[in-house]
Amino acid sequence: MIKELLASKSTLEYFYILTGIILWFYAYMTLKDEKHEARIGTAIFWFVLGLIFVGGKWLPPVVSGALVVLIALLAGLEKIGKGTYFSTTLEFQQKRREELGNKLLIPIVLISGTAIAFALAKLHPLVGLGVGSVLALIATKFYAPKDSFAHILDSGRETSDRLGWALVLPPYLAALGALFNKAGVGEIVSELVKAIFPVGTPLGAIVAYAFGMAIFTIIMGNAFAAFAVITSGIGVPLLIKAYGVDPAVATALAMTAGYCGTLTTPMAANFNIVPVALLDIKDKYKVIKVQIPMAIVLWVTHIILMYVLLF
Amino acid sequence: MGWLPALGVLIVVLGLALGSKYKINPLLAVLAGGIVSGILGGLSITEILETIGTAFVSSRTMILFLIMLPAIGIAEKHGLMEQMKYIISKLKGATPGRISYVYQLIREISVATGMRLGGHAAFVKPIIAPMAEAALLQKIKDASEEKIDTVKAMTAAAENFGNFFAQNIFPAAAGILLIQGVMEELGYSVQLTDLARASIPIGIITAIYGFVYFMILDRKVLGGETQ
Repeated sequence: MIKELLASKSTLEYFYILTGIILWFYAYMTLKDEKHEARIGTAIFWFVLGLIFVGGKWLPPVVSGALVVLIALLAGLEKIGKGTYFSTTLEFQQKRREELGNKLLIPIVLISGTAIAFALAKLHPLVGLGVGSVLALIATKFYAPKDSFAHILDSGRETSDRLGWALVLPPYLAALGALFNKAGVGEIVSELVKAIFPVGTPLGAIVAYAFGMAIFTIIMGNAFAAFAVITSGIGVPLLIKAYGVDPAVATALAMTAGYCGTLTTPMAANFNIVPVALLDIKDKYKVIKVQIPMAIVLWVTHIILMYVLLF
Repeated sequence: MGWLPALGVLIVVLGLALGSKYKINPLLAVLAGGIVSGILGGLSITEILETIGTAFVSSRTMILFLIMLPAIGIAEKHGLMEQMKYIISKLKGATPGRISYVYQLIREISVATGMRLGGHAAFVKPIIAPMAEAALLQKIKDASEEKIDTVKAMTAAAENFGNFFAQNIFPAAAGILLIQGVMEELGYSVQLTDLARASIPIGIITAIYGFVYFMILDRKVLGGETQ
């Protein structure tokens, strides 16, 4: 009974609800944060995202779709921002580090440890992540005994505010992939790739799939957005269905073949352009230039690996 | 009809390409491209909203990591980063390439076990890049600005190499969750553990390639002056 509960994907709904409630608390704290640079917009952002987390299962899809568009507009028009948070001085952190040492790693060990343990026990790893996070919240009593619950949640709010719009981009790209898919973009791209490559052979199908993933990732800046389109257009019909190969191996390698594309594109701004700014490097494309040789060698390796493992 | 829906792709590409110049947020480009594609593909506004809503709700797994941020955040207020710096500073025999490579390995291990420790802002900028730069200046006192920039870029690349090619080894990684979701829609049931296992070889290969590549880059920036 308990094992079933911990192994089931539907159990995740409880953790979505818990996450949503935390986000509502962020919305409340944002409203109280007088010095917040975008108080109202950010509060609405966290409230609505919380609503999607709590009510996702019950809301009609058209309503959650409208809510998603609302938070995308808030974030896209830069109506969200940063506030003031519970903070500690560097001296305090250094003093606490000397007192606590590796005890500071407790939350990391609890969260990833529980998730890994769940995976090994054939339970749902994400349920493990949720259970581990709750355990880590309880364990704060060991390394931050004097901090109130508001302090602890405020530390989460700070990181979440810093992520801002980048937070909703990955699921948003998944939604974009679904739209492209319904509109038939996958067919168009795959027709193009099919016209270029001799897809009637196993090697041709592999190259077409891996090339499609890389090129579409370069265009979109994100392999997640490319995956649904290229897999439904090329991967499944020309490789997985045509030759009856292992879908897990084919798709897992197609995804990382797409990541090779991510290494080479300025569209993946958070990975390739933001660090240039952070590190104060003169040449805007320096990180990409360092990454390109590795990206090419890795992509070719993907072709070889797919051919060896699938045929 | 036919090729028209591809216009949506064009809008996304243009939006992202011109975005940094004209300050267009990527979310807006994605939103506009998706809606245009949907309309040209013959979907009604209601159908478009339903598609976005359904996809977003089933992608909540991707941002479930929000739930772990408060516990990690409060540990940071008590010196988690100081402890990590202390652990990494114990590594001896430092060169820019070796520091980058060790960081790549640490990053590979951390993402493969589902930890979200790392990142350009949290780790590379405050810890890894300064260490690599210091290691370069120790060997070459008057290193050119270009060499310093190359060394900084090496540490940023190490973050990406480690993060990208080992993350799917973790059985709850966003990438393989997406694969599972997409394949389910296409009528295939694939297990997370199988996807994670299939991602192990490329993680190991990246660790090997990274070693070779960073040694080559070391020779390039340190010239004949290494050891």
